[in-house]
Amino acid sequence: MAQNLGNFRIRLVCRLKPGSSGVDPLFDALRSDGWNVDGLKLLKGGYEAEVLSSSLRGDEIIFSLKFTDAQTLDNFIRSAIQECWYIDVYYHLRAESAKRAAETLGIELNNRGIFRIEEADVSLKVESFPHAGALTISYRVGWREINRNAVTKIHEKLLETRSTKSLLGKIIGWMK
Amino acid sequence: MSEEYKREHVFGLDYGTSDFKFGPITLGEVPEVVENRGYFIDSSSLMSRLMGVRREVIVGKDVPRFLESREDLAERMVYPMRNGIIPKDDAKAWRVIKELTKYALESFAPKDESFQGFYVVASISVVAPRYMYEKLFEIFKEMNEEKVLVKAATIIPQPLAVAIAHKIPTCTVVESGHGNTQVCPISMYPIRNAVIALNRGGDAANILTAEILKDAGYGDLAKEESLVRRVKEEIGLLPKNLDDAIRFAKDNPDEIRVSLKIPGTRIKIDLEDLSWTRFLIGEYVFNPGHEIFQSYFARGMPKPSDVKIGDTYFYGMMDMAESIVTSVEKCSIELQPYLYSKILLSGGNFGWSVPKGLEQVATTSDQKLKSMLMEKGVENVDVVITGDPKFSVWRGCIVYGYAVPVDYEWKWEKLEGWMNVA
Repeated sequence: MAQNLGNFRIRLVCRLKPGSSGVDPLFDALRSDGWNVDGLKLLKGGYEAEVLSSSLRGDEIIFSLKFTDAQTLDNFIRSAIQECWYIDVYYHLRAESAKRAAETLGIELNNRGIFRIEEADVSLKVESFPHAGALTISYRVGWREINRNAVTKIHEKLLETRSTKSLLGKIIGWMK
Repeated sequence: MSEEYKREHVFGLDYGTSDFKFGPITLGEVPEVVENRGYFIDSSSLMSRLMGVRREVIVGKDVPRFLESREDLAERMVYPMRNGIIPKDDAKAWRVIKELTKYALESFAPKDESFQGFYVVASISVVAPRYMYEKLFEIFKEMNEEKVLVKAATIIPQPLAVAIAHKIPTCTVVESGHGNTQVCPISMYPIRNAVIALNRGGDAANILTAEILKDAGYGDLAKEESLVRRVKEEIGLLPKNLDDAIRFAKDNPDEIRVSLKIPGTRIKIDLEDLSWTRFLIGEYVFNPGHEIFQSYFARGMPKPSDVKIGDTYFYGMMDMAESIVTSVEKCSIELQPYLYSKILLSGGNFGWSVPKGLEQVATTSDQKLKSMLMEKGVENVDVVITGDPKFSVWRGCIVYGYAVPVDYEWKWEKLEGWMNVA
């Protein structure tokens, strides 16, 4: 089930609860969701995540996800949030993925800047890098967002832009 | 300044000998890449004045638009990091580094008012002398003259960045870029007195490729460095065993023959009956001492020579496995097995692939080095090519910048921490 992520990458920055005893409880929470933690790699039924880095203070950890499955992402965050104060979700999009996401979110990829966009009742921070044809979309997740199912809604919105270009859009693209 | 601000504003700069990789943490996994070079415009020329070219140095993606004749190219194009060390008084080279740094930071500096500068992590050669650190910090300060682009900066050696990116505290990193190769054992910190530097990188293979092109009748093209590099990357092969590979190539000429068309031009390169020389390109990177190269040296191809730059010796002809053994054997005996048990290969010079149908004779860098080390009697070796070897230094910069707290100040004795420059 290894996924070709192409130009679509997700990182999670988990801020541990104040006074938490390091990252072990967080890994335990992920294990209880079926993730097998092997050093810096996390595996679950063919899905993979990786610990990219952690702060020297031991209060923050970054995961790089090697999958785009909405349900697996939602479950991962639901498990992790039990040990986190909050989780910042970052989408790093390039090339076509960036263009399509920009289109869906109604921003112009050629304008460098930072935009705030409301989606699923969550404020998304969208940063565009025209020079690199890249887009970074981020938002913060706490229990409020989890309870409103915002993670899945936002993810599907951004994923949808990868695959389901409208028929009309495809025809116009082809005519161009 | 909060950790949260830093988390989104870490900026990696990898000053490679040929390519300059740069970008903020928010770029994800892949940095921007431009050539580490600058072109000095002839500002006295009538045409540059007529065209309104105000810049003295052109860097980045614009360079090809300003190139003049091939003769001017050699004179005006400056590659500042050719062997990883810039002489202290080489004003032109430092000027290019400054322009490239500015180009990189301005390409990504957000326009909003909340931006108060990047946390810049720069990476340079492990043999870079202290004055290069001082000069770079000076450049970072100068970046803030018009607008604050750099809040704080730090500098780490490239092999350490590779180890950080892979979170392996004890290993041997072999970082081979365009101009040189650094073999650096790491046990938490780089073991500096065991570092071996080779005066050889991708450029050595380029020189050989140019000779091969000349022999095949493409002498006019052999002068264009970027084209030669492209030919090397697209048709060069790394042999498992050079003699066997040449035999195979001569017995199966059609399997080895390849033609390369340069898009947007009429240029088509076909080595025809010299297609067996494709294997020489890869072999030369790992073992320039093979007797077959003598004929090239005899015809005037420059031999990679031993040079001393600053306090560092750069060996020219030492083979890749020998350099690792020499480096590791400078470390304590107790540590040596651990250094052999994880050898990380990083840098564009290790990106050799095996085309379909040539699995029998061609190989990848990790397998080649493993077999070379075994021939020297080194056992229990694990050689790993870093994922996207060209970008592992930049990734290490990002991981390092993220992890080091904002209040950890720069210490000259340890060469670590943040130097506040804003």
